[in-house]
Amino acid sequence: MRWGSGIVTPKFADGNAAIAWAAEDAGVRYVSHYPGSPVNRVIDVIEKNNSNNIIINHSLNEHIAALSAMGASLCGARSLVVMKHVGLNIAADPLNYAGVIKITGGMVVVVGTDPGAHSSTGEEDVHWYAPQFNLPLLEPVSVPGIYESVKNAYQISERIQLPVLVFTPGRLAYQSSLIERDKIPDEPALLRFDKNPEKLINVGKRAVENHKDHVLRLARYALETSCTTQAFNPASKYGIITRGCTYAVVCELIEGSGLGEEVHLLNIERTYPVNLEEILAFAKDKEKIIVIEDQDGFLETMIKREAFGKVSCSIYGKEYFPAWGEITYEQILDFFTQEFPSEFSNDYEQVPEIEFTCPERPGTFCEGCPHRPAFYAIDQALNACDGVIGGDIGCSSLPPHRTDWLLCMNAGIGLSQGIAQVLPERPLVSTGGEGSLFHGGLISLQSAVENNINLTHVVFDNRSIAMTGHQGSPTSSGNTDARKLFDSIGVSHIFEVDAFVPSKITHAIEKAKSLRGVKVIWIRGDCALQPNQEALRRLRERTLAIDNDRCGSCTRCYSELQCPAIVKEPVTAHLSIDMDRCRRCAACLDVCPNNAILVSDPAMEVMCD
Amino acid sequence: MTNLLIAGIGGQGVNTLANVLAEVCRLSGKNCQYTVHKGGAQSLGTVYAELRVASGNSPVLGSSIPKGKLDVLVAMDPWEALRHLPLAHAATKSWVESEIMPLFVERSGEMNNKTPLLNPLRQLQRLPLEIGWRHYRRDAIEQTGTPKMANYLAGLDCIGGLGINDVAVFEHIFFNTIPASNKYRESFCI
Repeated sequence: MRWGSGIVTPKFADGNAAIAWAAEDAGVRYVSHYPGSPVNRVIDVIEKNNSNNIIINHSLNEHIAALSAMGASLCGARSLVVMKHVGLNIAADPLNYAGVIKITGGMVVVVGTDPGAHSSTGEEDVHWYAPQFNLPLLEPVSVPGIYESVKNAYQISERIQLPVLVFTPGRLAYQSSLIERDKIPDEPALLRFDKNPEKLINVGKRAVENHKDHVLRLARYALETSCTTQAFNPASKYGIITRGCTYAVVCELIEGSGLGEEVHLLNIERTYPVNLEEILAFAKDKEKIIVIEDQDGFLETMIKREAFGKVSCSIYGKEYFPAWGEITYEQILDFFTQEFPSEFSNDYEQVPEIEFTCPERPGTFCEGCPHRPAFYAIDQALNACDGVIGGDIGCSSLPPHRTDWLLCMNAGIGLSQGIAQVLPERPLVSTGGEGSLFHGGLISLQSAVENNINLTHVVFDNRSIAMTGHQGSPTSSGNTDARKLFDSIGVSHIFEVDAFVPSKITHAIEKAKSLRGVKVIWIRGDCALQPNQEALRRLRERTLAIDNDRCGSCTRCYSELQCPAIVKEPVTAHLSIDMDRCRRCAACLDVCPNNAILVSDPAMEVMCD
Repeated sequence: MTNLLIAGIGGQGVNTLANVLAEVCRLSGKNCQYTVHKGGAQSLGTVYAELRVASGNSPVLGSSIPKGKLDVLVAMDPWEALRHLPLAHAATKSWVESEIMPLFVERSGEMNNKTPLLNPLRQLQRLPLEIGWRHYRRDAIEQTGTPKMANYLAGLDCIGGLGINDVAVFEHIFFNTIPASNKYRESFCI
């Protein structure tokens, strides 16, 4: 493959755009994904200017995304799969088999990891999947590095006929740097599917033979190719090994302190499988090696596993750095200050002595968000009876965190079933967005039906995978009739309600509590950031105000509904509506017990007061 | 190396402003990288952008501004200025919006039985830092009728803090990057 020519002017790109550009420039013809931060924008970039006519599969979960890309690459198309770290759990089943089928088109699986859990419900370390799948894993250290790694991954993938994993942490996914694009002038491969039972009917002796071939193919490749870069003083007895984001921080500290003569730095970009010869050459004359990496210590483990009994120096890692959160500049600085006190004794600038208090500001539902009145209504139905609210991920999980748990996708409908079965008298609703429902929740719902579980499931249908950037969902495409779907799997009662009339939602939940079977409260209301025609009309034509003479100062609209557009005057404590913020959903109208919300809307027959 | 941090909340245009400033740096011959932190919420939560601008051709490395290395702080809300003060040093240049945006812990009951929050303006005023107080939001509303252009006014302080004197380049990039803002261009007498 020829790489080169076609260099264009450098442009700023974040990690997401770097992935997309690399795929385009590598001649990718098939992309599949399930949206998830921090790699939620990759597909947007590809879709925005899809001059290569790349086929995009907006898969309903990562299992489908991985399998469909394997199918495309079996036919010779270069494919890209994009998902977040927890999505790899869902894709794990097919990726365990991806090594045996000998794809002919390069396949790259980009996974957005999230040390520090900045945009996820957990910081699960998914590195351990690489040895389980036995697939190569690349970890770039910068945004330009992402671009190069993803392109390089296609070369590797086609050379050894294995998908290649590329991990991109949130730090890099949302970092922007200049990138020089370099298009590949390759002729597109002829696409064909060849029947080949030897590798595709993977059972019995064939499965063992295919497995052996897979293991040996990757082991040969590991020894034949370099996976490292080195910096600073090779003669130093003190070795530092990094991967991913820690490389840049360590370099900055070493260069800033003039420590370059004291240490020898090895960055490992292909963290699985490592090249043992390179590790042994690096370790040969070292007295001490420190592995600095985020999370569990995957690289440290791999190095120790490979180099066990073959090196004489001590190798440390998680003895000095935590296995949780991101490894920060300050943690590495503290470590260096202890190890090299003369170079690092006075690194901090003069920091003023300051003491202050500042609360977290984690964001909340937007003004006009359908989840706000829906949760207000659920609270009204369940709070008095100490009911349980099963929570799911997505925008419905935003503060004020009104559910009783927030774990993984479809934990709402799943955990709730066990609780409903062991505590049948306890009032309970499970919740989840329509994105989660079609990701895997539908099977959970059907499972509840098949097991005769008495369950009320609330579906927040805002017709959008909102949190990750408003990707479409089956209820926005119009291809799926959710009501027929619920009917056909045996849901006993379906309550379709308007998200912006919370009293009706409360009533539906009360009614559902009295019925047996699997009931669905289908709450419909579009995302406020994706306004439909009626929402736009309301925004233009409707006005709302609070009549302070009627207001009884119950503050339900302010402190229970918690609409950000309702503000409290600091001196009088009177409430008012900030019309710059208000989206005119009028959920507050239904909440107010004193009819103090005044609405003016030409589409209404009468002026409401 | 100059480290700049723009602090605000979702919906104030922090991400877009960082994008504009990086392009301005590039056109001014400065090597720059930036990172946006926006959390999970679509709006109203803490958002900030870290710009690291290298001197000459030296490479920009780690994405985070280390503690004590923040040179310029432009905050579009006083709470958000406070949040990042551990990064500041004695000579950090700071410009801070004086209007406090809503903080939802105050109304959600999470603050019950806890020490009441101290006013962020008073907290900032007590600190040994020179702060340029700003009315980005009020001025934007007065000049354009909308608070959306507050990030343009904050951007002017950012380029001042970075030592970039060519305001015309900033304006050109800003209005090209955000086409919807062009209707307000006249309001700023450009």
